[in-house]
Order: sequence, then structure tokens, then C-alpha cells
Amino acid sequence: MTAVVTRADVAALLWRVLLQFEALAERQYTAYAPDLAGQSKRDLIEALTTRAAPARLLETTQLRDPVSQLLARAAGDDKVATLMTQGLVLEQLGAAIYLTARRSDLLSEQDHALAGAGYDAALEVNRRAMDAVGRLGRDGEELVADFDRATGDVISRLADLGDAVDAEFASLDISFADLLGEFSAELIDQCIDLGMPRRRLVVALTNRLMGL
Amino acid sequence: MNGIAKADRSPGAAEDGGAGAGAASVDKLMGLAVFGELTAARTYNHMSKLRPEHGELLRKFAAMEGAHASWFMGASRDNGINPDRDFAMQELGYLTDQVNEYSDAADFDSLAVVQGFIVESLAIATYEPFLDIADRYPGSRVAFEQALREEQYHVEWIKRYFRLRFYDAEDEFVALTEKVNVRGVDCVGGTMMNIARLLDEVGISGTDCAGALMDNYAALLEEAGIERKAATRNVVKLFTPLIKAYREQSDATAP
Repeated sequence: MTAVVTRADVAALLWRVLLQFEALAERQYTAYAPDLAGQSKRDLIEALTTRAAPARLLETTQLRDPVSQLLARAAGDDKVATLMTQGLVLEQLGAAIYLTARRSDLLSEQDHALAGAGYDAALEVNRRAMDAVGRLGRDGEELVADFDRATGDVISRLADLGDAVDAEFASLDISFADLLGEFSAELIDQCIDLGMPRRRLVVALTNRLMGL
Repeated sequence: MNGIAKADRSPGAAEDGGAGAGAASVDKLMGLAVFGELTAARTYNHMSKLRPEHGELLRKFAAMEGAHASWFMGASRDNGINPDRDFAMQELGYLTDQVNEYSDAADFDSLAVVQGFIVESLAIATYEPFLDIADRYPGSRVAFEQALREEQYHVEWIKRYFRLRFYDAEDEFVALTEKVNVRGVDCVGGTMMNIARLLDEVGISGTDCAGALMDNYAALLEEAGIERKAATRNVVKLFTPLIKAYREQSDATAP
């Protein structure tokens, strides 16, 4: 049974989830892609910490297992995996969540401001990740294969979040289908700009989302 | 198509991955192809009555779809395949309901989205990879190659129709597709998920086909004038519950 009862509680839970993602991102960037670690993320983490629900609250919700499983798979151990998994995929996921929160009429002014800061920070890091991936100098076919290898596990776990997101964040009008649509649209567009062949990319993403 | 050995439908033949593999699955898939083409013929005939200025061309499309059904029946006969009508009718029922509703409402544009974009996207997404295994069913390659060319020809006209129809009226086109997509994608996307495992059994990746369907449809929306990200956003959002259902079924049947 969850202890999340008010809309403010739900928002605090959202920030707790995002804090876990941001904290992992900061550790990964520091270890493997220092160019992506920066003050905007550190400021964001500090802001999220002040508004996030206690960690033990997340443990009582349906989000506990899918979030921890996704995070476990996002902790890669090299630069390319970090650039792609954190810098491209998870920053775009974060951006989709922050954007949806920012647009919601159901959050407080402070939460809207935090969502805005989160969105800006996510896009800033994502742009730098995109530049870094571009500098790898790989051709499109190689790149999509590398991308699938590096991120496939995380994308597969993403689909597991669906029920929990819908159950826990319905009162904020946040739906997993909307998030996945927004995330996919931005990620696919970005990856095409990086030179990945569109069809191969979409098929790879679909395979992962369908559980392969 | 004559004098060619029929597909081996004995139980042991399934293991060789050849023409006998997944015989029941082939019957279902071919059933869907045959009766899907007949449904498409009917839909284009409805459309021809709603827009007499395009009547001749749309009747030609209908005749082409009918011919596809005949070719597929012929290829089935030659290979000992029994197109599963019951399965096809079950899958096509929801689509037929929508076609009837739009036809009764004289809603040409909705029919064009459903048939010309969504259904054709499914056909193309499955006929293309079928060509990789077509030689297991002698005579079918010619049929599917021609059908594929003609589906792409139909789509090309539909795209041009929409570009003109909604020239400088993108918002209206977006509103139309979003309206039709709710049931259209649920229906055709749902069929895609239902046949994904059947496709796997005959040697075609079902999940690859699902990805191709999503990409085909999103690309068509973009080519007809919808901004790329908006098209992707809408298609992925509508496919999300179908993907979820597919995964749940996979988890339920996993050893």
C-alpha cells in the first residue's frame, strides 16, 4: 500500500524518481564522460533533493522494482555506453518527463520551476552528448549497431515502467504512453541527425520495447 | 506455379524451417493476406462511390486488391496452404466495422487514412520481408512482389491526395489522423501484434515487422505534411498499449 496521498506527495515522488536518475547520471558522467558532468546538473540534483519524497516512500510504490531494474542496467562501464545510454536515451527520457510536468496544470509554482530547470539541464547535457557521439566518427550503420548494443537493455526495461507510471502519476495527468511518444519522437529525430538509418533505428527500438 | 512440389505439411517438416514450418501459422497468415486484400478491395470501392471524380482510379485500386487476393489463393493452392478464413474474419472484424461506419458517414478522408495509410503500411511491412522466404512457397514470389509494388502505388496516390487536400491546412490533417488513429492503429496495430509470433514461426521477425509498420506509417504521415516529431509522437503513443499487451503475453507464455 502506498503512503502517497496528495498531489504534492505525488509530485515529491516524481522528484524522488528523477533524483535517482540524475544522481546516477552524475556518477556516470564523472567516471566516464566528464565533459557531460556540470554545474547545471549539480544544481538540479540539489534542487530535486529539497523537494523529493524520502527514498523509503519510493520503496512502497509500484515504481520500486522497475526503477531499480532500469537504473541497474544504466550503469555502464565505458564512455560510449555512458554517452549513449545516459547522454542520449536517459536525458531524453528525463526531458520528456520534465516537459510533461512543466505543462501540467496540476503542479505547484515551485514544482513547475523545478520541472523547467530539469528540462533545460537535460537538454543541455543531451546536446553535449550528441556532439560527443558525433565526434566518434562512426558511420550510420555502425552507429545504430553500437547504439542498440549500448542502450538496448535500458530501453527494454523502459517498457516495464509503464504500469507503475500510470498508476502512480495519474493524478498529475502523466501517462506512460504520452511520455514514450514524446521520448521516442525526440530520440529518433536526434539519432537520425547523428546519421543512424531511420528504419534500422526504429526497428531496433521496437524490438527492444517488445522485449527482445 | 505448376508442377512444383507442394509444401510438406507433415508434423516433422516443421523442424527443417522450410516450406512445412509452422503450417498452421502459414494458413493464418495467408488467410489474413487473402481476406485482407478482399477487404481492401471493398474499401476502395466504397471510396470510389464517395468521390466520383476519383472513381475510376479507385475502382482500379479495388480491382488490383481483388487480383492480389486471387494470386494469393492460387499460390496457396499450389503449396498446400489452406488460408484460414475464420482467423482472418476475427482479425478483420474491427477494421470492417470502422470501414462501414466511415462509409455510412460518407467520410472519404477517414477511409483514406485507414486503408491508404494504416492498412497499406501493414501490408508493406509484412510483404517486404516475406520475399526473403517466398521461394519456400513456389509461385508466391511473383504474386507478392507485384502486390507489394501495387500497394506502394496506392500509397503514393493517397499521399498526393492528402498533400493537396490539406495544403496549408496541416492542423486539420493532424486532427483527422489523430481521430482516425485512435481506432485505426488500435485495430491494425493490434493485428500486427497478434500475428507477430505467427511470423516468427514461418521465419520472418514479427517484431521487425511491427517496427516497420510503425515506421512506415509515421513516414507516410510526415510525407503527407505532418511534422516528423508530431507523427512519431502520435504513432508511438498509440502503439504503447499494444506493445504492453504483447509483452504481457510473452511473459505469460515464457517457459
